[in-house]
Amino acid sequence: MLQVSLLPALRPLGVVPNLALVIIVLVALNSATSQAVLAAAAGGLVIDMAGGSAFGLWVGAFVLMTLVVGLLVRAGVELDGPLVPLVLVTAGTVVMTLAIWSSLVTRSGGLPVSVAWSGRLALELVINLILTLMLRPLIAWALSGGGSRHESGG
Amino acid sequence: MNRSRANRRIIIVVAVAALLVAGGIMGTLGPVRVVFDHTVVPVANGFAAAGATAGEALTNLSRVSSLARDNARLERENADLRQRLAADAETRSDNELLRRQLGLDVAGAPRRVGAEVVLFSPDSYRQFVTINKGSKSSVAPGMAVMSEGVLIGSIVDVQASTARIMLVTDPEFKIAAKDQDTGASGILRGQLGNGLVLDEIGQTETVKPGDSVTTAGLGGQVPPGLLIGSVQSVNTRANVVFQSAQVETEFRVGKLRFVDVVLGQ
Repeated sequence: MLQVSLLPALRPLGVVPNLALVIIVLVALNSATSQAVLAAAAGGLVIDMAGGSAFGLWVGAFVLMTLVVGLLVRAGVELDGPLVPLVLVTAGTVVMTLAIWSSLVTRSGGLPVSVAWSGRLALELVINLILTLMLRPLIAWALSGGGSRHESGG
Repeated sequence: MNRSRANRRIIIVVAVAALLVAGGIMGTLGPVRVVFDHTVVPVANGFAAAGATAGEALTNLSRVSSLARDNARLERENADLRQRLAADAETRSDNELLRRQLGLDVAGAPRRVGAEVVLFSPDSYRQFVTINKGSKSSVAPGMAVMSEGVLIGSIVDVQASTARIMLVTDPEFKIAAKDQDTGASGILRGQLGNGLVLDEIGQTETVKPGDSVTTAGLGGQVPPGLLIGSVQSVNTRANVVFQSAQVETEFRVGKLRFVDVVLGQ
């Protein structure tokens, strides 16, 4: 809800932080994969319905992110440190931005990417990573009473 | 919970999500949209209002040092606008008189409906907002939307009680526009983070910094004469077919709260 109301209205430093992506990644890392996929699909659908373009981008990105976390769990990757969420948020931010840029290229027939756009991506990425580090302990604490990710996903 | 049961749940959720996305792309999500408009939109409206207020407060804080200068500039502009308004009233009265004498229809002011911004585009690149008025209030795709006297965009998608606006600053936005002072016409396009650009202006036409840019009203449902912004700079090169001009608009996405949809004459 904040992703389509408060954050775009505030626009810290002129960009909209991807708080929803950060939360989905952290939820996926701290809960069962089946629950995380459900949260990702519901959250992504709400944002897609509120957004203006490329319907399915947010659902697709969020579900994909939770499935990647599920695969990492099954592969036995160590998920407790800050490195994995930071890498996932970086990958998610870049992939989603490239998808939006691609849809613009397709629709407007030109390449709109400029230095200003790259700067915007870099700024958004930095804010998203700071949010990840700030929210990681909070989400882990809030979900610590829930089902273990290893129970269902691993 | 065993692994196969968890896998089954994941597959079901992914399949349902894929079906909903397919429905959304094909435009068959009507009932889901209705639920969305009556549950998510009212709650988001509260957050949007809080965000717009906080955004405006932050902007004001950052501009405290330039308030005196801004105030002086606005007072000058106000005096100038009052003078123009008086002259325009005189011209309008003459125009109506002449039209009546010639037996032509007298054009009235376009009808408008007020609306509140309830949702914003969730990313940094696309520039869309959703308002709380839709087809029930006679809002239709293609209509112009104004805020504080300037064009902010046009309606692209309408539901029963909500409508989506593509803002003039969206990179995909374009509309026929003209320099109100010289009559030079062109295509106005949105430019993310760089204001607007009035493109495809003929080399023989004149455009000057400070000129007002308005809608040209060529086709569609957008009437002519709606203020868009003012020319900031002109880019003329000798060996190209067209010249272009940077156009500055007064509106800021974060401060958008109330808008007017121009329904037509």
